[in-house]
Amino acid sequence: MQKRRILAAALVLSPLVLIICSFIEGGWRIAATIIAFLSMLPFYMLFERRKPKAREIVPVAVMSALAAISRMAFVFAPQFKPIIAIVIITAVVFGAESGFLCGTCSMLVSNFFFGHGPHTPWQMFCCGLIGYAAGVLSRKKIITGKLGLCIFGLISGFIFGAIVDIWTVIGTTPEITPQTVAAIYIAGLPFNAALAAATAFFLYVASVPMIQKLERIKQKFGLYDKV
Amino acid sequence: MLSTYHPVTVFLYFVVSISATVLFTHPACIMLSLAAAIGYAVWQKGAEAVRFGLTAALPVIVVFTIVNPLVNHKGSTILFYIKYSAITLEAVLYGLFSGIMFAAVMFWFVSFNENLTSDKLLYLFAKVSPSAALIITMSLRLIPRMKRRVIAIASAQKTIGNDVFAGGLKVRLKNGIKILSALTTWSLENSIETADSMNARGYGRRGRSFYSPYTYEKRDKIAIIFLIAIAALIFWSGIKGNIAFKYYPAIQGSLMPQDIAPELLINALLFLMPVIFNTMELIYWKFSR
Amino acid sequence: MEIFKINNLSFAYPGAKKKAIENINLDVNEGEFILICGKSGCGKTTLLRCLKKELTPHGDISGSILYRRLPLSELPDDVSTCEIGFVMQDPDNQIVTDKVWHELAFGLEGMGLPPNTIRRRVAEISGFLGIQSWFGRSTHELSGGQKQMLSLAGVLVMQPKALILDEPTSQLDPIAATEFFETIKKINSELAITVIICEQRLEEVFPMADRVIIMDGGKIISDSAPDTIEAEHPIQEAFPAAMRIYRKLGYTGKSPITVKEGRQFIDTQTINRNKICKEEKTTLSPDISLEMQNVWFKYDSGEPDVLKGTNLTAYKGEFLCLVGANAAGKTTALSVAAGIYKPYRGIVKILGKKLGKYKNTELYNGIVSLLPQQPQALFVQNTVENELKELSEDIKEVVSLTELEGLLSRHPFDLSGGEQQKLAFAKILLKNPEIILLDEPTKGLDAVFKKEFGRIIKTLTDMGKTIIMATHDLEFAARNAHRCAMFFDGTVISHAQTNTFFSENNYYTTGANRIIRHICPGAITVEDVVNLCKKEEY
Repeated sequence: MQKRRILAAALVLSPLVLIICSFIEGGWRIAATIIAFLSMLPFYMLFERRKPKAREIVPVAVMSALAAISRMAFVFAPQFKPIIAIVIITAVVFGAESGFLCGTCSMLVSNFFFGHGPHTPWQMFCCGLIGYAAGVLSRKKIITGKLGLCIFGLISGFIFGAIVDIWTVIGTTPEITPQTVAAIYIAGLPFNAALAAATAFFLYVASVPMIQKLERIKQKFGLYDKV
Repeated sequence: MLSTYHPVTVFLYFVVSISATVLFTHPACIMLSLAAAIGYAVWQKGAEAVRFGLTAALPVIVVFTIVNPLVNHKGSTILFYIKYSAITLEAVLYGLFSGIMFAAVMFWFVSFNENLTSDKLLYLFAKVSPSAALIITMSLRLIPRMKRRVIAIASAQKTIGNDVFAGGLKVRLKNGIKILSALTTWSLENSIETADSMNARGYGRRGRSFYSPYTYEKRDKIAIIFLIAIAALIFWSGIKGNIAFKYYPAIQGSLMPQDIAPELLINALLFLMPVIFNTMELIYWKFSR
Repeated sequence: MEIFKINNLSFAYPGAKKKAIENINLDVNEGEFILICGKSGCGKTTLLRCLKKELTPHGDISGSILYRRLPLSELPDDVSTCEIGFVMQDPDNQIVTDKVWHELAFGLEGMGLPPNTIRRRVAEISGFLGIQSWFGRSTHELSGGQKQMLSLAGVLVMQPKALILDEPTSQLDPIAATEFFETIKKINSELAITVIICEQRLEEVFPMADRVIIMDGGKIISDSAPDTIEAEHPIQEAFPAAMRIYRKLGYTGKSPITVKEGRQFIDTQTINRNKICKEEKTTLSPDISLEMQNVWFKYDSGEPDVLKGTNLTAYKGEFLCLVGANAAGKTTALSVAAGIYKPYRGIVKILGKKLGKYKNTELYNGIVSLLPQQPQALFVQNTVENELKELSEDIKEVVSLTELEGLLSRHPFDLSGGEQQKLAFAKILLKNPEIILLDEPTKGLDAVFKKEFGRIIKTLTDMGKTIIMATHDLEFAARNAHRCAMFFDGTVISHAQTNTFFSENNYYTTGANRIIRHICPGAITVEDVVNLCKKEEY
């Protein structure tokens, strides 16, 4: 099957490229991007293996579009965007895998409008990871209630900033030293703080009614869809 | 034109070109890539590319050139001191050229976005995860619709006293969230019918196939072989290190044409590939008439 | 041979006391064109959904459905998916993907067909329906009619044997609806595909149908050829004008259906030509409540003008209908009148005061309200009651006027289209506006709802409210409006009291008027025509 062949080729070729990259001075830039891509693969494969039904796909698509729209709607306020909050809410209701998909898809989709760049795979991976974590943690009852969500949102806002800044670090500094990393993170701090605050704020204001709406749809899908 | 090729070809071209851009820190390589990237961006987007260069790329170069020497004090040629920390020529140059490299990548992405439109990128993505690709397709279909709905909701709510453009910040924020909430309900409720429509047309059945309007032609094969050969040559020259260029502690590397000519030629061949292929097709077309 | 054989079919939704459909017996022959009508909530949609396995709702089902002698439940999935095609109401909701080509291929991908087969089938259908020119476009760029045509094409590529359509034109304008029906007719007659269609817009489908089925309360109350329907049912208000005239004059047997047949029939009648046909319904109040003078508007500086010098006057206590083709500027004119958009030239005066002089809080609190084309845009709460209480504590009066009493605890999105329209209407009425602007409120509604809507409007105008409504529904305008204004290319090109307005139009007029206009141009409704004929008999 063609898909398998491509997947196998990717799995064999990528380490090869990684090894080659390690011999070249600028190689780690390529290596890092490949790693960002590779780290998303297992999640997609898991989802694909489950043969998702329409009722799983459709709400994720709606929420991804909504997250992307929200990123555009707040274009005047850099970083103060509800996108991560929406991903977290989706994950809480529909589970970790849906959360991962919603995170990666909403980033990719909104970058169709903002323009892709080398940061795209990083944003996708990171937002997906936050969705996945939110799904797992809420199922295990580690994050519960509005306050729990807000704290999780606050942390994940910072984590998102920190991981996406990795690209800035490796893309710009010749040798990764504590000083250069610190400089970049300090420069990025106001933006990341704004993102974290926005996420916590939107979760505080909107999480309860949004979760209600999603639960209602989940129930409706249960009624209409024969299992 | 590059955009008429198969998505795999187009994607591979950008992967190799951008890789070649970030692989080498040699100023000549970086400048060559920048020139090519700007050339393609202007070719495809015209004045908009120029505006992009002035508003996005140029500031990046300036910021890198200024910031790098401020945080990085390596280098042996000290220009002057700012509060006991040395500003070195090497750091300034490194900042300048990594800024240019960054700008070149940005320009490459201008053409990338122009050539790999959403449906082509999705075609590629569907090879990895068909379901995720479908989710993205559906989101892309929903977004214009949601935009129209936001306007409809905002004007409807305005006439019953929930105006997002009036009142204090708190009221406006509250009304803004009301609109987001209304949009969520509306879109989610409609999604049930969308799921019905998918089920009615056999979604979720085993053995789903994959259709695309793209055809893989002989010229794609030629282009891909060409690209793989170039990529191999580029990696090889990277490992060989002829073109290595070190900035710290002192600038070390050759700018002599005879030392770097083969490597530059390979890069030039890569960057000019669309032009070469285009010209060849044009010539063929002229003669076949 | 029957393609569907339904025996004693009953269905109840979970938790519902009453069955949604009860003891349905129906045989559908191969290649037949069947029209099902009935008011909303009569069980039509449930019945249609029971015919397609993938869409059958959850609930208690009894009785049997045979598809080509095979029980539906034993039908292989592939057969059910491909051979039974289903087109739903809202063209926007059933389109899944963002590109036309992908939407066409979607079902075939699901069946796992190889790309070459998909390519051929998609090409074939595009050619048959004449849609190849939009092949590369994004689905959101299409008009409503084109979207519905795309949904139809996306089902036809599966090569169905039976096509089921659930009110497919309810969201379309008349021109797009006619085009859609023509296509359905072509599919039925040229491809011999069985068609089962539910509709509220009956004028065009009636002549196409082989059989018309009327449903009420989950049961079939009539099943006959279109020209021999005898049953008395409120839904017949939506039947073609010729039929209604024929029946109302007391005739039985084969009735005329089309305007052509209606005219042939009316020519056999003796009509009192001396009777004055032009009798105006009301005298207007002299007070002007809304005035637009030479209003120009465009959405963006680079875009073309939408309103090009619109002049419009509405008087206190009148019901004014704005008619005209799609994109003629009706909706925009209403939005400008409601103060949502500001014209770049011209004056809008409301109750004698310039629109710009009003504060928004003042304007939208008892002066002007706009009912948007999509009532859902007004809904923000999770029950009907909260929806209303959001605006005012005292909801009793409005609730009884709009007859929402039984629905207060429901979720707004669980209501039927007509009920949603009423809820939205109730919501804006709570602001107690003097001037009420309505944007196509009767779109997709059944005859019974329309009648009720007309009653609500009458009550309001009697109270002295001014109502301006944009509509494609000429029957509704002819029956209820005091005055009509015709929009064309961003301006009002003619306006007059309703009877005069329609009698002066040649093409843009009601079915009843078309039948009788060569004798008496002033008769515009079925009742007018019936009166003219009856008078002579006395």
